[in-house]
Parts: sequence; structure tokens; C-alpha cells
Amino acid sequence: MRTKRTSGFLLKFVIVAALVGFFSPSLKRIRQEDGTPGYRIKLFSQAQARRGGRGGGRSFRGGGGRSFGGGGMRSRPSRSIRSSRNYGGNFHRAPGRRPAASRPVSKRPTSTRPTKKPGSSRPASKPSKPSKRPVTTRPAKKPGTGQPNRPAQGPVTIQPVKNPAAGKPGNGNRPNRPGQGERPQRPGTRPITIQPIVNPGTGKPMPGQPGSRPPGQRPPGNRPPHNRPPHPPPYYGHPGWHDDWYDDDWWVAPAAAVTAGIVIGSIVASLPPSCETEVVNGKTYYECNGTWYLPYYEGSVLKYKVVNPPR
Amino acid sequence: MRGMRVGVAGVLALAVAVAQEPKATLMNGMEPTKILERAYAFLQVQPAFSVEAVTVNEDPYRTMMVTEVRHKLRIDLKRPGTVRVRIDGDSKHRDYLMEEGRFLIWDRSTGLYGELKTPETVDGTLDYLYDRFGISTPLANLLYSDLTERLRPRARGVDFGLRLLDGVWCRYLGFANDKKELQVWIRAGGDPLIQRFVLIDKTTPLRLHSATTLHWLSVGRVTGKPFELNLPANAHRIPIEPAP
Repeated sequence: MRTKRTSGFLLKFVIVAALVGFFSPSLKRIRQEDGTPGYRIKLFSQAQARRGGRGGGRSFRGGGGRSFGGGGMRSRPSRSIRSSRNYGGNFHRAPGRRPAASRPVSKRPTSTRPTKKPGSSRPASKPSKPSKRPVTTRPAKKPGTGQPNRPAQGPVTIQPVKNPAAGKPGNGNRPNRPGQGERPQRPGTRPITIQPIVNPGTGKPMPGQPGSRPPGQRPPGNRPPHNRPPHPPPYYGHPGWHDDWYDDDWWVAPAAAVTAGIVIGSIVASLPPSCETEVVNGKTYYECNGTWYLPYYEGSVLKYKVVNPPR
Repeated sequence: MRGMRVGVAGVLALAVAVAQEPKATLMNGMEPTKILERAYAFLQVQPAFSVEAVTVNEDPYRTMMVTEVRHKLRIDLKRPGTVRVRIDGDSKHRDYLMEEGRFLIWDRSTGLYGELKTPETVDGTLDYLYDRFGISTPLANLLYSDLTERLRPRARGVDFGLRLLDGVWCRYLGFANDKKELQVWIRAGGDPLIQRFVLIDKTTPLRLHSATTLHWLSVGRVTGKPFELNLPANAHRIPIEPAP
């Protein structure tokens, strides 16, 4: 009986002692940056702090959604929130822990189909459909994030893609974001072959692609055309009640492309600077650096057609 | 001291406007469509008028944003066949002149003008220009002589009540269908003149807005000689071709 009581007491003592020891603050002597001794109080043991979800730390990756930290007193203020790729959420993956067999960029196997059927003039390979998933040449991370890149992920081959919307104004001609593509290649990664995306209309690389003109260096007046809204339906018979309130004439075509190689017959909406007016055979022309333009109104929009020099 | 005077004058003007609030106009209780038709009916029978307008239109930049285009217009109309439209603003410095069978468009910034032979009435000219050449005359909806037939509202509309717009009490109406919205402010007292209208194009992802505020200079007559247009000596005539 007494033994049981003693053992019960001991058991309680052990449990209480363990709890007290577990939750009691610990005092640790540390040496501060200026060399003077100091003390640091910790409420939890190191093990518990870890158990709190990779808590806190400098990178705010603690286990608690986007709450910064969440790991207890061991959390120290971050030097930079942006230095972390993940703002918490327990999704942090230590560098190098990703298995090497990662997802390939393209699952489609290389076609073994013959390039041309016998007796058929149809091209063997269909033009590539616009992928629902855009092929991106975006680097793995933004520059300056300070996060190490992922390890090698196997062969990566980006097929040349032709822009299906090429030729349409304002579709998909967005240049790459600045500052990308300058990341030095990490050791161990396989070389990535990126072929320029080609505009099928012009055969020239799309903006932002290798070989294309870098953004911001367009000649003045060479803006890409806007997405002009469709012309309103004819006034008559339209069931609407205010179509003509809407004067789409305001949607003036912006300064059209004045490219280096101007084709006779092409039409622009504005002239380059320093043009001279010439009247030849009763017609008014503009002569701009050797290129001749014939102005005319297309509807109410003033346009200029590139023409041969008048005689 | 001067600022105080201006402030006092503003307070007085507001007090006068509030005092003149048309609490019992003929438009009270009228359906919005009837109010709009009433405005059309009043305007279409006017033999002449002069109006200034400020238009703010949105221009889409690709599909990501809209830019604003602002213009100031003056329109002088004298039926049956004379209209002068002067436009100055962000993208245009233009003159349109329709004068009894002759249409002239003159771009003042370039000195280039074009001419066409047109029907002799305002309505015929507006239709001819739109049908044959794709030329939308700005604010053409104020110019036709059969607005009640052409622009009969199909939607039932909403009456948002009275609003004070530039010191004028107006009925604020709204009409909507699945493609567009029209919001229009019509004078509640006196002549039912349209003071402002806003159009929202719901067919575009960016829901483009177009807002026009009108300032009526004269109704029933024009002042001065607004239809005299003397082209400068260095103006050049160029052809007008149909828009595709």
C-alpha cells in the first residue's frame, strides 16, 4: 500500500518535474556582438521550438500560414522579408531536397512520325497548336532573391514556338520582363536550348526573343497598335438605342509602325519627324528621309501610304 | 478677401439652385423612357442650336488598361443642312463642316483637308458619311431630326432621381441592356435638354466608358457666324477614302 502510494507520488513528481522543466524558461549566457557577455531567456526547449513548425528563424518560414514566424521565441526578426521565397506556410523545402527526377517541362515524346507521307503534299507535321500552357522562358526566380536555385531537373528542351496570334495587334507581343535571363547557369545544370519565338508573318523574332530588338529602343512613333474595339454595328436596324452616342472615331489609331525597311504600299498613321511637304501633279506628298508618303483620309482617320517617289 | 467673396458667391449660387429645385416638374412620376423621348423630341425640332461639350473617352491599351482621351467640342447646327463641329483635345484638332451638300473635314494640326459632295440635309449627310465612308460624326445623336424614331429606348430604364449638375437640376436616368449602358442627365426644369451622358460598353473586357458633358450656348438660334470656315493658304486637299 505504502509502496503504491510512494510510486504514485514518484510518478506524479516525475510528470510535474518534466512539465516544469519542459516549460520553464532557460537562461543561456551568450556573448553579444560587442563582446560583452549577455543572457538570453528561452521559454521552450530547442526541441519544442523545432516542433513548432520549423518555426521562425530568419526567413519567416514558420509553420503558420503567412504569419511571420510562428515558432516561438527563437524567432529572430528577419533581415529582409523578401529574402525569403516562401513567406511561411510550411512549404519551405530545403535546398537540394527535391528529388532529382523532377517533372520534365514537356511530357510529349518526340514524334516518330515520318516527316512526309508518300504521295502527299501535305506537310507531315501539323503546325504546332498554341499550347494551353504557355512555354515560359522565365528564370526560376527573380533576380536578387538570394535563394539558391533548384538542382538540375533533367533535360529541358523548349521547342520553338510560333505565335499563333502573330500579326494581330496587341496579342501576345509582350516583351519579357526586364531583368530576366541574366542568371548565370548553375553548376550541374544541363544546358537549355531556347530557340527564339518567331513571328510567322515577318519571320523575325518576337519581342523579347533572342535576336529581337531590345525593348525600349523603338524609334519614336513606333508603338504597337492598340486593340481597337470593333466598329459599332450599322446604325440602321440595330435594336440598340444609343449606338450613335458612341463615337468610336475617338479611338484614333496610334502612331503606327514605321519600321526600318518600309514597304511601298504600307500604311502608317503618323509620320516620322522632319518631313517636307511636296505637291506633285496636284497631289500632296510628304518626303521623310527619302521615303515618300501620300496622305489621305480613311473615313475620318488621317493615314499615310508609302509610295514610290512621284515623277 | 477675394477668396471670401468667391466663397460667398458660391454659397449663394448653391442656395439659389437649391431653392429653385423643381420639386413638382412635369417629369415627376414619368417613366424614364418618356423623359428621354421628351428630350429627343425637344431637340429634334430645334431649327438651330449651339452647344459646347467635353468628351472623355477611354482607349484600351491592349487588354491590360485604358487610357483617357479628352476633347472639347463646339457644335453649331442650323437646319436643314448646316453643321459645324470644332474639336480640340488630346488626339484631334479638327473641323467638320456640312454645308448644304458639301462636307469638309480639316485637320488643323496638319493643314490637310478633304471634301465630299453629300446630301443637302443634316440627316442625309450624317447617314451618307457613315454608310459610305465610315465617318462617325461626333455627337451625331444630338444632330438628327428624327431622334425619337432612331433612338427610341428599348430598355425600361431607371430613374435615379434629381441630381444637381453644374448648377442645373437634372433627372438622372439609366438604361441598360446586355451590351451597353446609357446614363443620361436631363434638365428637370425648363427645356428638357440633355446635360450629360455616359456610355459604358459592356462588350469589352475593360468596360470602356465614354462621358460627355454638355453646355448649351443657345437653343433655337446660333450666334455669330459659326459656319464661316476659311482655310489657310497652306492647306492641302487630300482624298477621302472609305474606311474598311
